[in-house]
Amino acid sequence: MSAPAITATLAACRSVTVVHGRGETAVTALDDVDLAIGQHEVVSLTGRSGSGKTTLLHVLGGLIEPSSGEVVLGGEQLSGLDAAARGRARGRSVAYIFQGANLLSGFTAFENVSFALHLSEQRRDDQSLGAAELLGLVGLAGKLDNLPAELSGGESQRVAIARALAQHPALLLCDEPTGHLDSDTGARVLDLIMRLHEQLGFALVLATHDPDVAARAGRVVTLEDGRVIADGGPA
Amino acid sequence: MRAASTIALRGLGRAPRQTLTRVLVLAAAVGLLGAMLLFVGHSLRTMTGSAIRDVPLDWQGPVASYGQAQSVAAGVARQPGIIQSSPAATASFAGASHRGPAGISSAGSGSLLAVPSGYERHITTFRLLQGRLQPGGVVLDQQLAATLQAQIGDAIAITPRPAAAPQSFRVSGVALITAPDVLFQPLNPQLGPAPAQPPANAAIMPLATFASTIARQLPAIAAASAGSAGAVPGAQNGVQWQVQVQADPSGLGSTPSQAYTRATRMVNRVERSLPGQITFVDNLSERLNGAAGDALYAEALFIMLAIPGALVGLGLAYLAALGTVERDRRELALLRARGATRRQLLGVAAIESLAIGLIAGLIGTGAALASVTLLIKGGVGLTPARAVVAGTVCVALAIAGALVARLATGARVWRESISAGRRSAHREGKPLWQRLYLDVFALGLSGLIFWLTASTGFAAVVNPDSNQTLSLSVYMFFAPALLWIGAALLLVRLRGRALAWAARRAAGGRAQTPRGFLLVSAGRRGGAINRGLLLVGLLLAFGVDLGIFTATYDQQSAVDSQLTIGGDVTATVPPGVTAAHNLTAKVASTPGVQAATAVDHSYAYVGPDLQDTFGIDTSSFTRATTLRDSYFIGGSAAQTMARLRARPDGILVSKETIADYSLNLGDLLRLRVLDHRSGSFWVVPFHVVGVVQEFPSAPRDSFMVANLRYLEAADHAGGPNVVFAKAGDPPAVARRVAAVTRGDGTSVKDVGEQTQQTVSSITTVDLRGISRILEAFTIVLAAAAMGLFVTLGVAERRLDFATMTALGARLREVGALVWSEAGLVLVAGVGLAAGLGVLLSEMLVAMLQHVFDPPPDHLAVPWGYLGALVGAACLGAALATAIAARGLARMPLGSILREE
Repeated sequence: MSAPAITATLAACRSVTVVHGRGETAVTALDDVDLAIGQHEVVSLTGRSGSGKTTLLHVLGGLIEPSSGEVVLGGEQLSGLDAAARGRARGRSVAYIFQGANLLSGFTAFENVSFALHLSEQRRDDQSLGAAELLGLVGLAGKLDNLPAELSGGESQRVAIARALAQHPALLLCDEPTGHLDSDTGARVLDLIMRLHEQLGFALVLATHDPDVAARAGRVVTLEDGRVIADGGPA
Repeated sequence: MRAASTIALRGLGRAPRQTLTRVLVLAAAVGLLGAMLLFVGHSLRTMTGSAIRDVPLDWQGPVASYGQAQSVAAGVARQPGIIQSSPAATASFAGASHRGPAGISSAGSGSLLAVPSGYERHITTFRLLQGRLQPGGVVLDQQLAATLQAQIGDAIAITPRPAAAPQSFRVSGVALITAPDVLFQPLNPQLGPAPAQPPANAAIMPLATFASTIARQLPAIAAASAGSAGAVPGAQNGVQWQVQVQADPSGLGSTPSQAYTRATRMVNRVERSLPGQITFVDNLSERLNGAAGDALYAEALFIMLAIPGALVGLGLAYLAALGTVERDRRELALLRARGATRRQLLGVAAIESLAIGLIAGLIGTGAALASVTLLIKGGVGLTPARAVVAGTVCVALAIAGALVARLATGARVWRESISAGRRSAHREGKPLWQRLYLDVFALGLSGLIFWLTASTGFAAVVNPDSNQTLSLSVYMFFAPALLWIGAALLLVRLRGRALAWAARRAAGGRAQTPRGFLLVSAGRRGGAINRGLLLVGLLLAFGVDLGIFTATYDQQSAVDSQLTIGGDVTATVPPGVTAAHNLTAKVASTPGVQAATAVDHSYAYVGPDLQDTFGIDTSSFTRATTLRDSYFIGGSAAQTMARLRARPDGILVSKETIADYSLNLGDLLRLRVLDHRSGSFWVVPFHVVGVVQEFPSAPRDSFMVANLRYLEAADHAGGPNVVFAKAGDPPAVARRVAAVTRGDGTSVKDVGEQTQQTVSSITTVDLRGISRILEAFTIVLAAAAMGLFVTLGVAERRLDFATMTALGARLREVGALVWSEAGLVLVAGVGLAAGLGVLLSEMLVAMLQHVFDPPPDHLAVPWGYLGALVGAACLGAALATAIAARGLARMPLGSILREE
């Protein structure tokens, strides 16, 4: 199966600066960053720890409001919106996969996915997959009723992937999705994400410090001290 | 040390809100304990003072002669700690008479008290109403003055013994002998105090006059032989020379047991210093010994009522400390990773606890002082020294509480390895008490103790003589104490499994709907919900138990006191005064009196039994006092009164008399009634119209109630001798009534005073003050408990809530998880409180049922207070939920998700 064609811009940052803290303790996490993500595009964000990868993902998904600059998501201007409005915009088109999976601790694998399905209910159609089917898709049909504490790291991450798929995202933001996993498991999880991207066509942004992971993307954006220092194809 | 201090204080400063919460919750808990300490200390001092004041005459030492009485009294007076020592005598007389304008009035046998001048300075065995003691004269007790129809200046004749010539004395005053049972008791130091049946007639004489007149015609009772015939109550025949002594109360100490020990030592010392000359009957130590027992009971009751609240308060402090436990745990683990030893970590925890405890202790002291000053009428006798002691205790308790909470929450870190400490998932084994089933054991033992105490009449013994005493075993308080402990441990053991099971059942399998998500979430957080339930439920249970018990206690104290004296305010007058001075109208028109009624308290024989007989005016009686349906058998109070009103010669007879004489309603009952005009008994016919088991002012189980006019016509007593009044503010009204009727020789009592003085000593424990303190703290703690539960729940699930928000969940969807848990805890807590609280108060009231006469028909439920309690919990939950919602809306998603 070939990769979906990249068409219009799905998400973009224009002159985005993020400063954490105030006064002498202020830290500039992103400094005048411009970035556009096209529909169906796969982008890797690379850089050392503290270079601003995670902050950029959070800005793209509307989790944090930049100190200055504009963020556009699905044609909607996020800058200036309050947290609730940003949340609604995020809910319509973005899904996250975090480094530590961040499964809801009181819910089983099935319920984690089911909760995401419930949140994206307005965008579901009759052809949408159910929670059990989504978990089957990531190879966890036998672990529906397991709590997060009863799952391995790789299994948790696969549940997180299923949960993200339940949101029918146009843009999937992955923050070091293999960071907590051993290399074999990490590779399998990454294969799964890439395969689903090919099947479902969402745009994918991967924050990683692993060059091998970054190389799986068609475009690699390198950050250093909050600035974009390179943006192009894999090395 | 400096490094540890810096780390500890910086740690507190980094989480200012949590630190403030820990300080305030701990302050509330120690404030409650501090207030308790101040109150109990004050109560014990009050009990001691009250016990000492209740003793009209501390020591009575029998001696053989007038001369010996004088010399020994002088010797005793020189001893330290003695404020008065007087020679005195008591003696019997065969009769008295007075020739007045209407003829000769006679009285039967009676007793004489002979005292020297200045006797009344510190000894209060009588109160002069008119006139004074004069050489050659006699002061009559008001009852004898009324019987003889004698006034000051009249000459009366006293016959010392049968067949002796009467001796004439001029009446120089009228007095009220306030403690005749103690004053005229037979004196036997080996047997101790034995209050006797008060004499029907009594008079007081100057000691020298007595010695030169009456004493010459009576044999002296030898000090050594006092244990024989003289020891029989009321059987004193002759002169009992004695030394009467009053000890200085200021040197007796503050608690009843301390005062008892010192009083006993003092009497021993005086006896040793006058070897062979005197041995005392020690009324003071006897009373203080009883008071010490009461104090033990009071302490047990206070502890029983207050300690659970304070413990739950400390539990809240633990909950507050849990708010920062995850952060603290990681920080401590990090410190260990950097080489800190366990000892150094403990040092950090200790300094942190010291800082928190010091501030919380000072705030708690302020709260305790403010609460006792504001909530207890009359204060608690605060002095700078007592405030400092209370403050020191509060600070020490706060530091200890903070340290325990800190060590308990950080216990894992002290034990586990560094790597384990930096992880977030832990597994622990069952604690020892769970393996030993201590919770089940405590509950079982509680039931067993309660059953044993219930089956043995709750270990309460009431002596039915004129000086009632009541003893209770403090061991029976183990039953509710163990119920508390067992219930708390059982809740800990269950860890919310029942709630979790119910929630999962209600969810009905895998959750796919908002309701399902809420239910499965609650079901999987059984442990956390149980922690909230444990504290909120037990705190509310404590509040319910406290409220119901104190309301019932107050209700029964009021009933008991009113039943004892007859009305809210009672004026006792000499015979004839009510009619002659129109006393009923005078009392009725006193401001604050809602209604008044006159009662003729007389005596009549049923067969050989002399019984109290009350003549009442049925038209005004029910308005001026309270009649409960439970006082009567075979009809309500209104029906029984109507039957009595309908039949002028009707009479209500006590249950015992009905049974003893096989009487039925409508039966003719011939009573021998004392005719005050002739001084002899004559037969008067009555008809039984009802059965009565309790009646206002009826002191014994056997008594009768008749119509006032019919009884007056039969006993010719000159009219009613008691007036009952209903009043909104009994103490104030009693003062006004006493002022208005001062010239009529009335003795006025009110229910408030009676509650303090009631002879059934256990009801004198004033729960009002302590319950006000506890109720105020409970309301504050209930709000704090719900607030803490919500705050802690949000803190624990911060990452989950941030993740949900990142997934696109709206605030109301996230907030629903918060308030649904709060609602669940509140509903379950109220249910637990209702069950456990009512069970505990039932248990306490059942244990104390013998204290009250009559026992409570039902528990009194203070709906206002209970409503405020639940309202406070709801308010606390609502406020915390609102604050949490605001916090969730402003949640720094980026940093929370990054922390993970």
